[in-house]
Amino acid sequence: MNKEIKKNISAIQFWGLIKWSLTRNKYLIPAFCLIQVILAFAIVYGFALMNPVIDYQSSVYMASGALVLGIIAVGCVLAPQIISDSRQNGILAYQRTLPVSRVSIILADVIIWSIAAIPGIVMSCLAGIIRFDIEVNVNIISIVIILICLISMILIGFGVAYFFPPNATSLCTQVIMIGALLFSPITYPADRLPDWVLKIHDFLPFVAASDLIRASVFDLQEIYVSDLIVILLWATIAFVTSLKIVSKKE
Amino acid sequence: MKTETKKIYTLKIENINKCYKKSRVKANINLNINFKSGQIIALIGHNGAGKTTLLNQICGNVKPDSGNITYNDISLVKNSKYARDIVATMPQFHAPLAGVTLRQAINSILYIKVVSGDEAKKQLDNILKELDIHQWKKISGDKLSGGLQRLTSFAMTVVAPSPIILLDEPTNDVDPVRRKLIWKYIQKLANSNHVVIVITHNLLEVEQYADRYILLHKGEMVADTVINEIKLEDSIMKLCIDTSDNLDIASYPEAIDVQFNKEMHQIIFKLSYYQVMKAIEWLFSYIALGHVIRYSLVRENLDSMYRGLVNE
Repeated sequence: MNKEIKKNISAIQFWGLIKWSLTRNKYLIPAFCLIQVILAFAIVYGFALMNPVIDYQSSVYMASGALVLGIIAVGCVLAPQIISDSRQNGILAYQRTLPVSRVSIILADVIIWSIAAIPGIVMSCLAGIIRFDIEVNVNIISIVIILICLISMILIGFGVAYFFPPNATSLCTQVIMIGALLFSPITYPADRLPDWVLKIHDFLPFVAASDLIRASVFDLQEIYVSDLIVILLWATIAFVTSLKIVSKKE
Repeated sequence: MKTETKKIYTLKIENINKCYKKSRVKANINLNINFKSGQIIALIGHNGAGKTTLLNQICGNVKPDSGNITYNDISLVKNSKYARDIVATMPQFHAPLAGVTLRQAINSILYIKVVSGDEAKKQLDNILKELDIHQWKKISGDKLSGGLQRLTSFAMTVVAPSPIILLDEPTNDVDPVRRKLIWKYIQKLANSNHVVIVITHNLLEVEQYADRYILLHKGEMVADTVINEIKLEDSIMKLCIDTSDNLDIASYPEAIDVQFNKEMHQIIFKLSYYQVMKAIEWLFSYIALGHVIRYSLVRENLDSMYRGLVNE
């Protein structure tokens, strides 16, 4: 069989996996979209109630925070729980017997969850514009940065779901969400946190993602390569971990 | 007139050993088996005998500690991608069906096997018809009964069939009518030169439908028998007699073994081929006297042989 035909077959099989996954999750995905929309409005409107005076910087932090927290919620909380379920109820084991590559199994789910996150991202931007009247940059760079952050968070979530047993996955996702909501300078400036917490965040992907999105989508600061490196490093580690576990033979 | 001879393909299991590290259970011990295409091969044995482990090694999901598995001289152990391309597996438990209808589940597999359009529709309609499950095609998988889920899982495995088909307990929970349809379909797959391996605990079905059975016991192969080659004169016959009265023990015919169930007034003789004639004569004398309510004479089934081979 020549390479071209093999490529076409792989592409069809990959699309088959995506279709199957979309059909399986056809009720979950709209529900998750709704959750993200509610989360976006809750952050933009709810957090604003805690601040009596909202200057431009605070409004950008809240608008960008809504977007980043939405991405973290999909990637590191909702997606890993579904992946964990799929491990428990035999979907992964079944997929492993099908004539598809292990990489395809992971990438098909990445695509599904990326699609599921898009309505939340759009609604976060809209909520920011409506509530704070701020400008949102929609260009190639901002779209690419959003996609990098989104895919990285989804891969991190997958890494958690594949690496930990189901109970620990659930706990881990809660810790990530609470940490991201309360102890990360995502919805507020970094100078409000002690130095040692910031030092930890230098190595974690969550603040790096929020910095990148604030810089590219809301133009508040410049894009730091170091943030990109941190994000991509986490994405790579998470992808390799997931792939190793999906490919593992007993 | 030309006669077409089918090429026989062989799935070779060579010196396979597998021990699970965590439980330290020796699941497969030095297995050497040739599975040939065109046959229905039943893999039987008690729970934990190593049957599913062997299937998982064939499909490339479990790695043997030593030995090799080859098909067309290509190692399935070293080449997992090739294994996935040529092996279709029906899992022991149901395939994941939550959120998809019976039709969508089969269609998804057809699509992954690169069958689409009119051909996919044709194959889907065909399998729904052959298994008589078309009336449930629009029902969500999680709302189907256990038997229908099993049938769906079977259909997902055998549509656009791969050269090697592995079926782990395909008829469990399935009604008697559709069990026959499953076996009929399996026979069709064997006739079209696929390697078909079926794990089952239903020994009556093995006797009725399989061409060959392999008995595993504690990870080892203890029997490899071609069912049609079992000679009648080598068989043990079982004569069961329900009596209205206690028959004279002294008059019993010569037998390998005799069991008497007092409560049920039932006598069971195990007879060699050469002891059958005299036993029948003896039986008819008591029939004439009106002491026999009913009787049956059958070849001792696989169940008894199985018990003998695994000392149970």
